[in-house]
Amino acid sequence: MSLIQIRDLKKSYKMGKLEFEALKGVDLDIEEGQLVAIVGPSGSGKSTMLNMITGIDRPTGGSVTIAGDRIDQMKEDKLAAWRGANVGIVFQFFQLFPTLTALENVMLPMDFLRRGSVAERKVRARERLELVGLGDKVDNLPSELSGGQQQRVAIARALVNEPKVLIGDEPTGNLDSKTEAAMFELFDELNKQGKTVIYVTHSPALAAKARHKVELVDGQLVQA
Amino acid sequence: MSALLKKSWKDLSRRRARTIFTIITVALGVMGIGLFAITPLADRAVQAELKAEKMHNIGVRVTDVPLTAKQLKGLESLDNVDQMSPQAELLVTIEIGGRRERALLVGIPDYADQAVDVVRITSGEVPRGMQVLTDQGNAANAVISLSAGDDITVQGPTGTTNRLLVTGVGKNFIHSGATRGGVAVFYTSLDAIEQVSGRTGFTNLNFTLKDTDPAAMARSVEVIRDYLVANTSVVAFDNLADVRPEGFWEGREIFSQIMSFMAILAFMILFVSLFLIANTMNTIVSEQTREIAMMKAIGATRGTVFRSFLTTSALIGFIGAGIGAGLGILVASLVERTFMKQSFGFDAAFDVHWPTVGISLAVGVAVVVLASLPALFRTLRVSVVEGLESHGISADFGHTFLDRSLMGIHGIPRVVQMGIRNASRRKGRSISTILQVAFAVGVVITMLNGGDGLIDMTVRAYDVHTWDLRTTVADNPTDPMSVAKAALIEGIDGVKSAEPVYGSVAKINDRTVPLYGYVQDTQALAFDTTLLENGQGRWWTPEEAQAAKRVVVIGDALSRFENIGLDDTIELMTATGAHQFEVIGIDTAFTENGQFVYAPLETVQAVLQKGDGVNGFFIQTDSRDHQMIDATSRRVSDELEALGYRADITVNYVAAEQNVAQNATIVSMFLMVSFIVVLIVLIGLMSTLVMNILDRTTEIGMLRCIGAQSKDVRRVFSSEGLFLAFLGWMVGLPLGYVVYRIMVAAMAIGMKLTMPDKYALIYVGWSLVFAMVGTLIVIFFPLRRATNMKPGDAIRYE
Repeated sequence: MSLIQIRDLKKSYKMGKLEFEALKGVDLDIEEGQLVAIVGPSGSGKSTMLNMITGIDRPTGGSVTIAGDRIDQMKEDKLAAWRGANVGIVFQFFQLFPTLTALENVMLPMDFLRRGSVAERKVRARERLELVGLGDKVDNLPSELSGGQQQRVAIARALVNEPKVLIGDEPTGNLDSKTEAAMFELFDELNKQGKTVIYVTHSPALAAKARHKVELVDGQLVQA
Repeated sequence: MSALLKKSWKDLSRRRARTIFTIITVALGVMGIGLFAITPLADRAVQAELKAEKMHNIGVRVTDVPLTAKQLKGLESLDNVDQMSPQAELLVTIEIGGRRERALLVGIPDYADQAVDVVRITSGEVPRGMQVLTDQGNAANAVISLSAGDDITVQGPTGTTNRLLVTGVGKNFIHSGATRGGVAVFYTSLDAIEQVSGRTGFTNLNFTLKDTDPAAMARSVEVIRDYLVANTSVVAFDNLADVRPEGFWEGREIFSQIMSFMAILAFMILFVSLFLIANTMNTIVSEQTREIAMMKAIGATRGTVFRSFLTTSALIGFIGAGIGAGLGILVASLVERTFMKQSFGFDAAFDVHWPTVGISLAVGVAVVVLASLPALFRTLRVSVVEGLESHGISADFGHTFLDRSLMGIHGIPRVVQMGIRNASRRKGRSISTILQVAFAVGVVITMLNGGDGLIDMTVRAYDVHTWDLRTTVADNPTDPMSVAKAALIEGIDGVKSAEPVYGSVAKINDRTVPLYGYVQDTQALAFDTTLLENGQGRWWTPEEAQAAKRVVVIGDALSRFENIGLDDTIELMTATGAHQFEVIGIDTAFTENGQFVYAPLETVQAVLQKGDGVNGFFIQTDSRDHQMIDATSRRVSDELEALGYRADITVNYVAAEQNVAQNATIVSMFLMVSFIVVLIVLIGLMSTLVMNILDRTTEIGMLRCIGAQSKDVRRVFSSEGLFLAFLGWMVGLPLGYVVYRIMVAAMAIGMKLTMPDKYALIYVGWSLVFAMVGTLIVIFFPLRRATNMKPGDAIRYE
């Protein structure tokens, strides 16, 4: 069985009196350990698809099964806990918490899952920050870090609970080309270590580097 | 509608929750201004009552004077007299719930033809013969509840009992006042008064005047006295004439002072709200930096942009001020009508003080427009390129000492840590919230301590009384009450001692004060603790008393009001005219609010031409037990009435309880205003948290993305709210002390009374509980909104 099984996935939004269909019955399987890029023009449903996989949005129809769990049927709080344990998300605008240091930002997902003691969480968060090359920035606030450094903290945070899947929503969209390349290397390295990595991108260069490509047009799958 | 105006309007509906809470904040701030309307509304309501009842300008009390039609006509045609109405008052006793209580019967010659001090019938029929109307205050003040068809049994001065049938309910501004002192009031016919008392004649002569200038009124008092002395059996007035300038009503001055104090508090609330309004407007304008840049990019001048955003601010101001002014009208009316009902026993009509409404609207709009100007000017200075690259307000944190200090707090859950640090992100908003909470805590502590202080003062005023019963005895023309008759009273079972007194009223300048004639070494007052320990001067000597020297001891408040010092000579206007006295002592007792004049009994008797006559006794009973005191009171009343003296007995412990209950009205008004202040603050706190949640919607989404459950999100925001409330409480504690000191100072200046030093620790504890519980209640809905948000929607929120 695939790690991610998507069947007849539909999502529509109401925009005033109009109803917009973002996904029109998508079927997709993603295997464990794959490196997948989701591509397509603006408004094709890429981000909607990611939101369905992470469970931060609910489908209008169809199902999303990840590692045997039907996440489209989970209640909100259970889903949040599931997400914290199974999915790591990296956003275009980093979305770090400005009042927490790099270390505290990375510790936060463990706090929510109450994993280990506070001291253990601290050690693990520090390890993750060292992994992304920020061992010397643990006590810095987001406002004291560059865009690339903030995105590395976001990746460390996404990895800290050892999720099965790492998901990036335009993860390099706000970075320069040099930092983008470094960031992909990190994704590639994690994938080689066995992590399933899925990302949405507009960048042709980044899309070309993925070992699998999923293309969406008008809410429908045209290539998988 | 122009495109710009349309944009201004639509800008409001785009951020609906924020707009609503900004409007609510403005509205509550403006509502506070409405409290300024309470005093003019109360004044107008009382004036309407006085006008409807044709309140007298001069009221004269005489002892049962039978007046012929010719004499009545003569009084009416005296110089400057406009109209005149006589009434006959009679004190009787009635049985209420097995107790014998005082009651006042007021005889009206003709209900259809009342020219002055009209008794109005609110329901039922005009009483004829042995019938009465029950005053509406009887039921309202829980004295006795009667309705048409009921009957009462009254005992007159001669001891005979009569049954009177109730035909309806009546009211009169002056007489209804007695019901608040626990005296039942009934309006009846002259026939009934004659039947019950066995005497004829009038006791009250009430006049309205053509010229109400103070000098003209003083002249008229003389003219009326001269006429009565020359043409009737009157020798002198029983008491000083009641002279009322146009528009005067009892308690107006104190009421106005209390309300001014409240209104100042309300104004301070508006001032504190300014921070919140300014901060909100700052947020609204800053959020649109990109839009402003876009407008400029497509050709809008700075002036056009300025007008557009100013219109948005003015719209918020106008809507907020409109709602606030409306709420102000309702609250002012509620407070005013409650006060009128509780203090004067009448239902005031709903009324609006339009000048206050106008000021509220103008201030509301001006405040919002002015509050948005700094942010608008700042945003207008941003270049088009910078503006287009802006993503609204930056989430900057960590650069100030405060931020760093908060980061030093460890050992608490991460979500609580986040909440506390978040409080420092919108410093202006947080400071405003802290100040608001502090202000509410300060006001609550002040009001609770103030209420306690007032009650304390009342209790202390009665604590100096060493008497249990005080009986005032009306003159019996055939056998006047005298000092020697004290022995008669001392012979009554249960009486330990009886001390004669002559009580009257006098005027010093325009201030009416009670004048008491005490025996040497009186046992009726514990003056040794108030005069000898705290006051100034001395009590009079036996020689001074013997010689009826014109020496007096006056109250501390009176000395401060009229700027009278020891050894000064003062002029007192009495029922027999003006007399000079030397001030030999200033007493600090709270009795009569510190405004009284004590003189030797012999002096008062001489001045009032009463010979050896007295009109009352201070009585100490054998036992302090209330039931025993009640029983002795009945025996004294029976004995005196058997001897032909109409007695009115005041029981000290009952009077003290009633006075405390009356002050409870003021205390309840304090609490009412405190409640309004607290409400404003709680909604302000809710507004702050809603704004914070809106500002951090994306962060809430992000928290959910990384595994936060509802309870985690809740804890972040409730920690922030409780942290702000706690800081507010901390600041509020010293503020409460300062505001209470201001209140004490206001009492010292306004009423010349020294309130006790109060800062009860119990209220400090209670205020913390209120602040915390109040916060948890008001943040419930904003938190629900935060936790119900879908992570996807929250992440997409801009």
